[in-house]
Amino acid sequence: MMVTQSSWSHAEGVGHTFRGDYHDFPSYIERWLNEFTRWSSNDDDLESKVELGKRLVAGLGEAFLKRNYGWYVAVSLDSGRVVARSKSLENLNRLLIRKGVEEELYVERVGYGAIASML
Amino acid sequence: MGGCGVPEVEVLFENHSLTPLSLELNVSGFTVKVKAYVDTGFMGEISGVKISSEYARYVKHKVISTINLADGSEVPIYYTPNGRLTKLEGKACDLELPVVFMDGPSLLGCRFLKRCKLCLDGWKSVGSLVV
Repeated sequence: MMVTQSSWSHAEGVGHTFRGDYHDFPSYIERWLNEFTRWSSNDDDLESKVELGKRLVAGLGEAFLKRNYGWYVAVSLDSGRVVARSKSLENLNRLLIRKGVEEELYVERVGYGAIASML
Repeated sequence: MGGCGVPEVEVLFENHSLTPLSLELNVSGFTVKVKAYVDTGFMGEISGVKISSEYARYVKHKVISTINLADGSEVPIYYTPNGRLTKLEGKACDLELPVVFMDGPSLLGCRFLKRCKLCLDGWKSVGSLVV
């Protein structure tokens, strides 16, 4: 695929200065997207997000955890704040749908950990 | 006629397990068609439907959590509370269900079965599911 001079200039203008071959521009984008997709679907990445979520919940303080023992809490992985909490997961899910939160969330049942089982 | 407008669906035993059911789901706005097994061991409030983790990348608003497996391990999962069962065995339906993204075969869990009447006749190798 050929890239016009104007689109090349635009790409430089928005901060994506490309130093490779002029005709490689589309494959450069494709490579970057593939890399991003692989990164975003990586299981290790999911595990590290769970680790982060667990640390955030543990860091909410002893008083909070004691007060909310058995409750389901949704914590934002971006800001670390508690987005929603409820006694039932069904209700928490409803709250999350209603709020339409855009941040990535981690959900845990305080004092229990896993929220479901597959036996 | 069942609660979400689906008449009785026939399920069959084959090779000592129930035959999978054809589902059409609306997961955060996109349509997914899968064949899912009824799994009474899939329990908890998010045990609606489990589909392949490949679909998770298309869902914008998903939640991270963990579930326990039979071997005692705890595995991380993505799920979305924003799922709807729109067709069951080709018959139109409208049932709100959480969707879990995880590797392995697609499953229908206890959260779904809670809304159904499942009758099994082992002698005749047939059963019925009324939603």
